[in-house]
Amino acid sequence: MGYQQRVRDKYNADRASGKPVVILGIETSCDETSASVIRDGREILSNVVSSQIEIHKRFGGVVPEVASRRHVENVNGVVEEALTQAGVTLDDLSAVGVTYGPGLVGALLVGVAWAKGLCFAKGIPMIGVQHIAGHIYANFLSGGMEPPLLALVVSGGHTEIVHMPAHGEFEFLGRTRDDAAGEAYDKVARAMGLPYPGGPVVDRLAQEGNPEAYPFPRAWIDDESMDFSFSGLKSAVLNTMHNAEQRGEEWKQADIAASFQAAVVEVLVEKTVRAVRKTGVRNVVVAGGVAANRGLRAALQKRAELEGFGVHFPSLDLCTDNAAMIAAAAFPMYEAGRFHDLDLNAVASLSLTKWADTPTIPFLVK
Amino acid sequence: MPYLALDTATTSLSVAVGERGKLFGEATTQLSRNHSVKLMPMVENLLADLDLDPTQLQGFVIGRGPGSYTGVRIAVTAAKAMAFALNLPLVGVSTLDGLARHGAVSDALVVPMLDARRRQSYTALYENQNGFFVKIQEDKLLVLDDIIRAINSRMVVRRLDKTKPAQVLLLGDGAENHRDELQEKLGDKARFATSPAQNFVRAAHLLDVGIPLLEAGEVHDPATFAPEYLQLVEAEAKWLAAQQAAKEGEPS
Ligand SMILES: [Zn+2]
Repeated sequence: MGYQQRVRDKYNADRASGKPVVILGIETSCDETSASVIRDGREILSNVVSSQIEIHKRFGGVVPEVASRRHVENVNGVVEEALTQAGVTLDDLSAVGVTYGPGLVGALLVGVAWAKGLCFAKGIPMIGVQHIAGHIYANFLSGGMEPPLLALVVSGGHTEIVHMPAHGEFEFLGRTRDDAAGEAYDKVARAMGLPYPGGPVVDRLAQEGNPEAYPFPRAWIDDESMDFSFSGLKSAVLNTMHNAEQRGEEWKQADIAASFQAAVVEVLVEKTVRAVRKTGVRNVVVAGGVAANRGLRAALQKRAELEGFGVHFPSLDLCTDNAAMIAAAAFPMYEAGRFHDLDLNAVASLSLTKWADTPTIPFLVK
Repeated sequence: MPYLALDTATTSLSVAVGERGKLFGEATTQLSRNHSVKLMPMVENLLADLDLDPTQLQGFVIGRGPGSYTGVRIAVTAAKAMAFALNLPLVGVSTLDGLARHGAVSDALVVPMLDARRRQSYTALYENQNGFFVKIQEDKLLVLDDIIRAINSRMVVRRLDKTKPAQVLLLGDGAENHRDELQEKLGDKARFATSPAQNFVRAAHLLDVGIPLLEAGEVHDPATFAPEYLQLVEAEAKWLAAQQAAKEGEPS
């Protein structure tokens, strides 16, 4: 019997049995090899993350080929550990969710090839998950909100305001026109001579500095726009340090960090407020690595209270890349019976709004 | 119960199913641009054509490279998952074996060459000894001049044995891409594939090599199994060199 038919039979049997939905998530889009088991889309049974950060530190950034090689070496052990910690076997799985983009293509391919091998061997339904959707779904794991909502996505590669009217539906309200916020953090941190990865270090330094020491620019673009631009800010910070050095003056690391962070956070917060006012959607979730930033968390929380809208951040361990969020994002696809076939490919630049366009197995739900 | 062999390390995408001394079926393409997309559907179709279910397999033979870094990981990773899922043994064998065995019936020295750019090829040496096709030099990444040197030095040994002709069969895209130079430098010793069908990696050949290993219990642990790249990542090589230099600079 072919894979498609085995998947249909298993899905129909599992649905009829009324047993809980147990999804194995697999995430290998960058430098973390992660596997997680989630029950009924919300409850984390296990979330194992094998970070390669110590390996890549020596290179000053992620080397894609090194990351891919480590994923191959790690993936079996990480999945086994996730199953053991969750107390489940492969036969308990309802489906597998795997990140297939965006990310480093060689790294993504490891997760995708592994998931396809597993799902083919056991006749398990497979759901390719868009990585940024995963970051948004990290919010549902820590309890709280349901759509409709707005998502502020901030990471090394993304700065976007997304409208999510219902599960699995996404619409961009604003996006960055140049650098992502996390990218600006990394570049500023490197110029300050901070170790990789620099974002969290800037955040820590910012707590000790004066946010008004340097009047760095805020790019509003215009009164209406929900788009972002961070390249001007980044240049202003680099110029300030450079000019001070030229004049033989000292610049205080903590003041630079605090002033830079204040500029980034103010723009992120105000554009989010614009989106709330414009759409009338009153629930906001924050997603991506920069969601862990203390300055952003405090400022957005405060502003939300003033404006009277709800805001939710993932718990800190779910802000960085992990497979629990991937399994969580796979859950509504499972409910809808939307599964990918064995020709699923890794897509390095897969957009959130294009996720739904990847063809799924034609389904006959009994 | 049959074994499944896979190889995605080169432009050839090949899967085969068989037992010791018996090939059930094989599927191979040469022009696949996307092994990631095509591999598992090809496996599924081949098994379906043979009325087999994945649970009827009894082990996996995987071409573990050398070859394309990204390519070789496709089959290796899928096999690691399948072996884990079905709790079956897995053995990795050289992708060069899958190419070399086109020459398994030849009396010549057999030299598979997978082009690795910059006049380099992944290569190894094989010859028939007492009716067995034997690998006499392990996989290496060599520049063309060193491959020719290795062939000539083996020829010296072969001349002591009257049954072995002074001939070398050069297979693969590495041989084809440097055919003129190889012909010129090796003279009438050089033989090439007589058909394009002899210049690609066959999964059926991997079964020939891997099944005896699996049956002898000589298997890899699916958890730690990884491709054989034969090359460090450039950034790693540079880092190691810098570490070494720093160490040597230290007063002892
Ligand atoms: Zn991420």
